[in-house]
Amino acid sequence: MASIVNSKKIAKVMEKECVGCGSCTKSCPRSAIDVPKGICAVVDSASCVGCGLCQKACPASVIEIKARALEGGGEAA
Amino acid sequence: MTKNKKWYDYLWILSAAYMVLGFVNIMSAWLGLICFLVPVLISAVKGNKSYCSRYCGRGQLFDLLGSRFNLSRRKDIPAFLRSKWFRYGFLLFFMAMFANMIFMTYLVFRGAGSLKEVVTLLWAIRMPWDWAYGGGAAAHWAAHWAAQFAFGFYSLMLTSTTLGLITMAMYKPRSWCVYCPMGTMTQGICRLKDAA
Repeated sequence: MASIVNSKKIAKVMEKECVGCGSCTKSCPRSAIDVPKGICAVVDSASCVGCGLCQKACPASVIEIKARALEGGGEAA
Repeated sequence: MTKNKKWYDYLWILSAAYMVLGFVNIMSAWLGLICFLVPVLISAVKGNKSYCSRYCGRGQLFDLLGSRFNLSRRKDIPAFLRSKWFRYGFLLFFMAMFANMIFMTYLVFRGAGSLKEVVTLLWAIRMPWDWAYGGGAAAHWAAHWAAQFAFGFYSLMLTSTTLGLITMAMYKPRSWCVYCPMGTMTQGICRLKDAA
């Protein structure tokens, strides 16, 4: 899947608190989030557009939508 | 963008059917062992939790009822319910109840205990539907120990489904997944497998 360069947001998972249920993977329309090792969800930053559907679906409420870090080290507005 | 539905997206039908079947013939409770063995096998062999995300009919059922039928308040779950203490504590408690059920089955098998044809909710509340017991019909065609296991196992499944429905209504649809003992156990197996 092509990377989205103009998205200013991205999903962030609180890894230590994630229960790895995979509810987020079903909700993501871009298949940008997965639970590869069965421990916690991992976001593919190249595919995630920060739409927030995974955040809504997460029963543990451990996903946040944050401003994407810019290449220079700052954060997008 | 919509995803194409796969065969496993309809496993919620089996979960719903399982709960109904238990009312009709308690011996169908044995089928619930699939929900115990398959996730453990998948996590132990493949090292992932694809059972939870793809094949868990109960999770799908809660999602359907909570999201599609709007039966969930969609509120954040309290932090203590997702804490490791609660999740692993609940797993231990559930396993202790499971072990007790196995012991009861063993007593009946050895002839040291009699068959108790009773379904209980939350380990204490006796369900009133006598017709589910078939007037002892289960014991007529099945060994008493097998019937005892079925009563105990169905009680466990009924209790967990009820807890799941309550948290579905109070919090997010799949809130049960946060403290599901099988989910906690398979995550633990995956952690061990990853560390090995």
